[in-house]
This record gives sequence, C-alpha cells and structure tokens, in this order.
Amino acid sequence: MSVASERLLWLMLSMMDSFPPRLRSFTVALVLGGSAVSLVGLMRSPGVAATPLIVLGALAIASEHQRVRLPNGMLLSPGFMVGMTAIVVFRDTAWLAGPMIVGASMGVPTRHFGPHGRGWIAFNAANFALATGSAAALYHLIPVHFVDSLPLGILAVIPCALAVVAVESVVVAASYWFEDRSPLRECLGSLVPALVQAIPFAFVGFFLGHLYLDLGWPIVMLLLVPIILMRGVFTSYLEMRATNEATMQVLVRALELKDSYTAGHAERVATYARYIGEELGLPSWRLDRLRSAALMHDIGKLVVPNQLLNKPGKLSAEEFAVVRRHEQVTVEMLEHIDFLRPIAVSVSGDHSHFGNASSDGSIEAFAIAVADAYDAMTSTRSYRRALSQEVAMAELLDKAGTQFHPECVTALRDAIARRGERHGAGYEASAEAWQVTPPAAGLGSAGLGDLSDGLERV
Amino acid sequence: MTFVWRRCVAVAMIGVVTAMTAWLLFPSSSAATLCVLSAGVALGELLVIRSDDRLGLPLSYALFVVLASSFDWRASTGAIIVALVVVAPLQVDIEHRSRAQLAVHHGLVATGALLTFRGVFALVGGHERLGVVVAALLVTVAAMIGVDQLVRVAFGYRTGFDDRGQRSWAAIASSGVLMAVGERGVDGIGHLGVWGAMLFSIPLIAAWFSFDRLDTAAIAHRQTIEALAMAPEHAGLVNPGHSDRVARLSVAMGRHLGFERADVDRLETAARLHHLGAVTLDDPGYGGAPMPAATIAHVTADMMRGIESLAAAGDIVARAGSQRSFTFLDARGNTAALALQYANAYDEAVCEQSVAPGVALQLLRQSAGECDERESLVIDALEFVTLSGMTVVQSR
Repeated sequence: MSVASERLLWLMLSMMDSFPPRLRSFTVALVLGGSAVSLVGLMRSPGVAATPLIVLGALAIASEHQRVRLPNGMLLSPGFMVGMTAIVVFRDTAWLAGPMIVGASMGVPTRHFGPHGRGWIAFNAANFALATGSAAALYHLIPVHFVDSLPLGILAVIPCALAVVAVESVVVAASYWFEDRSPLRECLGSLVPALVQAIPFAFVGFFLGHLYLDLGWPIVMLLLVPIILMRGVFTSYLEMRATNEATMQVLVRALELKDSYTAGHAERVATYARYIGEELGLPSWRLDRLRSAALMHDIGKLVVPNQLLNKPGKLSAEEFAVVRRHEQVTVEMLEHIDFLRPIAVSVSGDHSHFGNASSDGSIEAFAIAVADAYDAMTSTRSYRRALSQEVAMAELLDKAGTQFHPECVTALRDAIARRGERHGAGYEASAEAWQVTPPAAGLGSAGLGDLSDGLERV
Repeated sequence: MTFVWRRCVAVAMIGVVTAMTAWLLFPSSSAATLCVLSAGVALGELLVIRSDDRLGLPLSYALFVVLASSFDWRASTGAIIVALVVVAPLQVDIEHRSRAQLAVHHGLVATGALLTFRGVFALVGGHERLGVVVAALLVTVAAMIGVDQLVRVAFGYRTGFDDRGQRSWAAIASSGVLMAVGERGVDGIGHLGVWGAMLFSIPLIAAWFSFDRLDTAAIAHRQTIEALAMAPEHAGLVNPGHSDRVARLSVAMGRHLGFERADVDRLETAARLHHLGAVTLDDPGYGGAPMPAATIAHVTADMMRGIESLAAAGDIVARAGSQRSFTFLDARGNTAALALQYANAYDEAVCEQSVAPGVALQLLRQSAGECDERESLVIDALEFVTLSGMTVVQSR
C-alpha cells in the first residue's frame, strides 16, 4: 500500500471515530467499492467535461440542503432529480463516472461538518454514488433510439428510479444491521413510498437533462426557484402542524388542571388510538386526524364544573345531566374544526358504541372508544383504583362485538403485546398522591358500568 | 376525494379525450397540443395558491406564459377563452366572485401575457437566442403581475402582493418560464413539446401542494384556538361571543396602532384565549369562590406559557391581567396588553352591562385618568375602530 493510500485510509477512519467498529468497516468497504467503480468508469471514458460536473455537483449539494423530513419520518429530497439529469447529460461521455461523482456530491451537506457527522459524509457520498451509478448503468443498457424518443423515452426513468431507491434502501438497511439496530423491516417497507416520491422528480430530471444538452447549463438554474420555495413553504407547514399540535396540548393542560386523576389521559388515549389505527392500516392523514380527535375527545369536559368532575360519590340526576352535556359540547367544538368535522358526531357519546343503531360506523370513533375505555380501566380515578392490564383487556374482549368494535379491540391487544408494554395496576406512570384514596373497584367509565365482577373473572 | 379534486379529474379526463380526438382528426396540426394546454389551463384555474386575503394566484398563469410564447396568438386566445368559459362556472364557488369578473380578470392577464411576449419579441428583432427568449418571458411575467394587480385594484380586491403573494408569483414565474422554454425550445433546439410543459409543471404543483398544506394547517390552528375559546362560553362563565368580539376589536386596534403581522396574530390568540383559565377554576355556581379577573388571567397565562408557540400570547394575557403594573416589560408587549385590556373592558361594558358605546368609551377614558402617551394611543385606537366599525378578524 502506498503512503498516499495509507494516509487516505487513516483520514477516512479518523472521520468515523464516532462509528461502532462494524459500521466503520462497512463504511470503509462502501467507500472503497464506490471509489473503485468510479475509477473504472473514469478509465473507460474519453474524459469528463468540467462544466456539467461543477454545475450539477453544486446543484446536487444544494438539492440535498433542500430536503425536508415528512411527518412519517421519510426524507423528501429533490436530489435524485439532479442525479437523473447527470445520467442523461453524461450518457455519451462519462456515462458511469459522471453520474457517480454528481451522486457523491449529494453526500456533503454542511450539517455533517461537525466532529461527529463527518463519517456520514463518507457513508452518504459512497451510498449516493453507488445508487446513481447503478441507475446510470441501467440507463446505459437501454437503446439510444428508445430514450431519445418521446414520450416512450420517459419510461426509461422508472427502472432508474427503482435502482436508486433499491440500492439506497439496501445500503441503509445494512448500515443499521452493522450498527446492531435492526429496522430492516422499516427500511425495506419504505421502498414503495420512496419510489413514488422519486419517480416524479426523476421525470423532471430526465427532461432537464435533455434541455441541458440542447440549451446549456443556465436553464437548469430556473428549476431551483420553485424547489427552494417548495422547501421553505413545506417547512413552514410542518412548523404550523407542530404549533397546532402544541395548541391542542393547552386543552390537555386545562383538563389536567381540572381533574388531576386524568393526568396524561388524553395523550395516552391518542397513543392507543394511534396503535389501533396503525394496526388497521389507516393512511397517514387518517392517523393524524385520529390522533387529533383522540387528544380532543374530552374537550367538552372543560365546561363541566370541577366540583362535579371530581365528586367521589354518586351524582344526582341533575348533576349527571350537567356532566352528560359535555358530549354535546365536544361535538360542537370539534365541528368547529374543518378536518375533524366528519368524525365529530361519532367521536362523542352513544355514536361510538358499536352496537348502537345510530352509530355511523366511523372506525376512528370506534378506535377512540376502545382506547378511552382501556385507559379509563388501567388508570386510577377518583372513584376507583387502576385495574390490571389483564382485567381491562378481558373486559374489552368480553364486550367486543356488542359495545366495542371487535377489530379495534384485537388491534389494540396485538399492538400492545408486540410492543411488550405494561399498563394498569402497578405500572401507572403518574401514580401521584391521591387526595382521597379511591376504592379498589368501581365504575369502569366510558360506559362500562361496574367492574367489580371483572376482578373476579380474571 | 374532495369536490375540487373531483372537478380536477373531470377536467383532466375531458382534456385527454378532446386531445386524442383532435389528434385522430387533425394529426398534423397543433390542435391536440392546444387541447392539452387548454385542459392544463382549466386544471390550473382549479389549483390556486391562496394569499392571506383568500384571493389567490391560479396555476393557470404559468400556462399563460407557455401559450403566449408558443402559439399563434389568435389560436392561443381562442384556447384560453374556451378554457376560461369552461372553468369559470366551476370556479365561482371557490373564489366567491362572479363568473364574469373571474373570466375578465384572468382573460385580461392572459391577453396581457400574449401581447407583451409578442411585442417584446418583435422589439428585439425576433432573435431566437436563449437569453433573449428568457428575458422576453420574464418581461411577460412582469406584465402579467402588473395587469393582475391593476385588475384587482379595479375590482376592489386587496392586491395580495404580500410576502406570500410574492413567493407565489416567484414559483409561477420560474416554472412558467421553464415550461415555456421546454415546450417551444430555442431556435428549433430543445423543443420537448407538450411533454416539456407537463413535466416541468411538477415542481410548481409540488410548490402548490406545500402552499395548500400550509394553508390547511393554518386554518386548523386558527379553528383549534377558536374551539378552545368557546369553552368558557359553553360553561356560562362569559357572555356568548365575548372572545370573538374582543379578538375582532383587538386585531383592529393592533392594525390601527401599526403592529407587525406576527404581533397582530399573537394579540388575536391572546384575545381569544384570555378567559380560558376560568374553566379550570372551581365553578362559583357549585360553591366555588368567585375569582377575580387577574387570577383568571394568570391561570390562563400559565397554561399558555407552558406551550412554546403560545408563550408570547400568554405573556400578553398576563400583562393584560396585571392592571397596568407592568413597567418592567417591553413597550410593544405593553401596548398589546393594553389593547387587550381595553377591548375586554369595552366589550364587558357594552355587551354585558348594556352601556352605550359612547358612554363606555367616556368611562374608560375617565378610569384611565392621567395615563401615559401609550395608553392614550390605545384608547384613541379603540375609539377609532369602534366608531368606524373596523372590527375585522383575520379568519375566514
């Protein structure tokens, strides 16, 4: 090994100080592999034009800076659009090395220049270079007359996008495995959504490449404006979403101030409802609506006087009527919010009762009803101490098909079992000092009636 | 699928069918391309980037740039008119404007684009060079902005050229130029035809999607705050409509006092939620002790300050409940708190105690006594907005 190679290797290793040993070895292999393929590509090409390399390289770096993380955790990046442009532009010259160098430049966003991030520059550069290179190789195999004929030529984009997404997913999944984390399922599960995201950008990149070849590099810069704008506005949208979520927390705080026994109730119901929604395969926009509705399902309780909400004894008929009014208020308040309006009526009161003839069949409402009942049973209230998880689950299963939606009950049971979570007696996170020690058994809340029998049953 | 999306699908299907028919009947003419672009205009009329005053920019403006630069102006004008005639009736319930006004507005913008591009291109001798074409297209967009603003002024709409309006125009201008260059090419080179226009609209559609999501999230946020503000009213702790009236008054006062947009937003949030804390206290109707307004304000402020995005509005509520003892605070925050305090006091006097508006203002001036200059300005603002009826609110 020459001195220069040794120094390069040392530099690379020192960049990855923060990496676990197995991940470091994997990254070194990845970088060496990527470099070797690029080198072969360079040697087999007549030469790489500097201008497209600089312009597209800079554009690739800028594109990666414009990426945003979606609420579902996926990264939305226009990077492959530039990669596809490079594949088209370099097709007749450096068909492998050109796209790989442009792809590698996507791995150098400034956020990784900190002491613990530099290793990721090497990892990402090699990953993107290999992914773009594999797409370029596929594109190279497609006959020229096919890719140059429109509109059929644009079909060539699809296998290229597939190759990029597949290589990136496999490399990232492998890195998690080498890091002793194993979200392999998540990585491979995101293949299809990532492909759906990559294809429109790849189409634009394909046409941009043709325009570049015909009209030169300045035309490419025009595309930056809408992309930068899109990124800025999308970031504002994500911030606004977070702000709205935070505003809903005001409600949670207000309810907790009214009734300390329900501390964390809304948040837990939202979590359980989300478990159910995920288990049932609801799309992300419905999961978002489900979470918001679950957080706000008790909003009407804000109008119930504290004295009634915390009364340990039995309520009089008049008091009960006042407490029940919160269901109507909940509906009115939820109906005020456009995106919750479609499920506002069903979330509250009898409409979420599975066996009720007036039920409109909204799965969100049934999910919230199950989540609400489960948390009500596994939490200590002014009228009863928390029940065990087994008692609560048995009660839900017992009433599945009559009071509760059976699929929602099964979904919650499976989701909790898979996560290995424990709730209820002995596992309460907020077992704060009770003002009055509640009785061991009593009403189940959420329309469950007296649960004394349940204790004996399990 | 929403109503707008259903209409989009219908328009797209009509576009595909008419384009295929035109292609079969007249394979050598540009009729099929014009059908696709007309359908694009129709779709673009349905997809609107909203500005803060709810009047927005339709994505069809980007197609106007393409049509202006690519076709014989008579044919293009015909296609645009057909598209507008088809779309205006569909669009009318979105814009809350008359069909005729909408068609005239967008028709004038399209005509301005056509005439400008042809004029500029003729002026430079029709040189087919990339720089010349792009410059002519940019001048065309500038003319479209001018015509659009003029029409808005003529019809009495707000111009919508705020920060968001400018960003919308930037997206439409850059995409329109790129789509036009992709469609027509330069001097016979780079001519991608209708595919170029369609594909280069993807970033614009992505930008529209982002604007739309932001709009939806902003509306949801406003409605969540309004829903929370309803709680004290449902509980019978304040008169119905109190928080809404105080919010309208405060916003109008804030604008009159020259507050920045963000400060007006914070003041509105503070005004809407200023009584929320009352619902967490023991109800006087069930044996609880009546709580002074200052206590309610401080409970509310504590709740809001716990949430980062509402902390500044929480500060305003706290100051408004502090009975002018806030010399330690910054001037801008104090003025906002004073505006809230006076708006609240005015509404309580007029709507709860049935005091005549003029008398209520007099009483407030008297109670202020020898107040400082800032407080005088706030009372003047209250007088101005109540007498002129300028109690606007920023929501729909």
